[in-house]
Amino acid sequence: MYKYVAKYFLINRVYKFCGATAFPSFLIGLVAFIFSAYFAIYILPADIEQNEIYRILFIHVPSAILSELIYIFLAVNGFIFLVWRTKIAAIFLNAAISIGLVYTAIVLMSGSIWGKPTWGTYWVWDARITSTFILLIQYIGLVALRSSFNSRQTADQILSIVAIIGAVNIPIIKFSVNWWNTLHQNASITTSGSAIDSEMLIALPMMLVSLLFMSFHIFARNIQYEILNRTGKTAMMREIING
Amino acid sequence: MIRKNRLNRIYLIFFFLLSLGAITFFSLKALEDNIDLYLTPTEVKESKIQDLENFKLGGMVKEDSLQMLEDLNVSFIVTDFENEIIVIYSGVLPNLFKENSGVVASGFLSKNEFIAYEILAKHDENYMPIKLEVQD
Repeated sequence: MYKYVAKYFLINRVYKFCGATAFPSFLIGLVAFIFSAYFAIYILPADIEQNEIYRILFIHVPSAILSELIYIFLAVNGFIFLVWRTKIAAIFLNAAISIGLVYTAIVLMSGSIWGKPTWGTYWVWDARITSTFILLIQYIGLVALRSSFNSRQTADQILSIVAIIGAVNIPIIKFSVNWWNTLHQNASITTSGSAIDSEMLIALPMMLVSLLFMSFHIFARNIQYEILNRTGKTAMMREIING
Repeated sequence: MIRKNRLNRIYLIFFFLLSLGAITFFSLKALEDNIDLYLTPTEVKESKIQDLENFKLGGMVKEDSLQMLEDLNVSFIVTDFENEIIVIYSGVLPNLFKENSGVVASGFLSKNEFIAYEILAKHDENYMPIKLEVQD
């Protein structure tokens, strides 16, 4: 099983794949983003209670989903790195941190901007917002840890352990609105269906897909950077770089 | 087949995560009352909160209970469908504040009335499009 999977994740294969897909993925993402943003802002009807301001949902919710998904990705890669000691998992982990940090910052900022006209406040220390704020601090901590060690091997191991520890926060963020009294409302989209009217829902998956493509572009470039940084001086990589 | 040392590391990490989960669970359980943002009217009645003690009160604004008094003063009833508390507030209400909708008020009790100094509106998870009525 391990050997079967590992052959697709050889460093030079990954490097080539990232180089080939980064720019097309950015183009697709950009077109999809413009399209879905136009849809979200101009085409979809206003909300019956929140009127136009609800449109911030289409950036707030996809960023929230991504900030959590990327953290799970970090933890899974940390796990793989600790168990199998595969370099590529550590490279994926390093490459994804900054993207998750940006999405978490976007969630908090867009939520703040959304909160003032609807709730009446920019910030309140309820369970959902506090746990998301902790996620932001976790990301900042990971970014700081990345460059705090002389040995890359040590840095990767510590990053993996910290990423796995921090994963405890993810279910807390997800279920905070169910477990405690919060100002933040419950999840709109659950296994029993969507509380967002189907007429307004369409831009949400579109936006999510476009953000996924655009983040993949940055992720791929980050991976290439990590690979070059680690193995750029080897003969194999020189061969690839020089064509 | 998975190698022995790798399997040991997997067990180690799972044991680690399990204990970490248990620690988090029990600490959150112990802090439960502090994590809740607000108290419902029933919780207020049950607890011995003294007059002039600051806390947040949350619930639904009871239907037909909103009264606009002189100046910017308003009074309304917060209910959790079991108990009710009268709230008095002076100031601007948030946009989404209305009857039959959620509210979180910061303030204190005074003679069984809740004097609020900040009102936040809590909205639900439902989103419905505005149907513009076309008039000929």
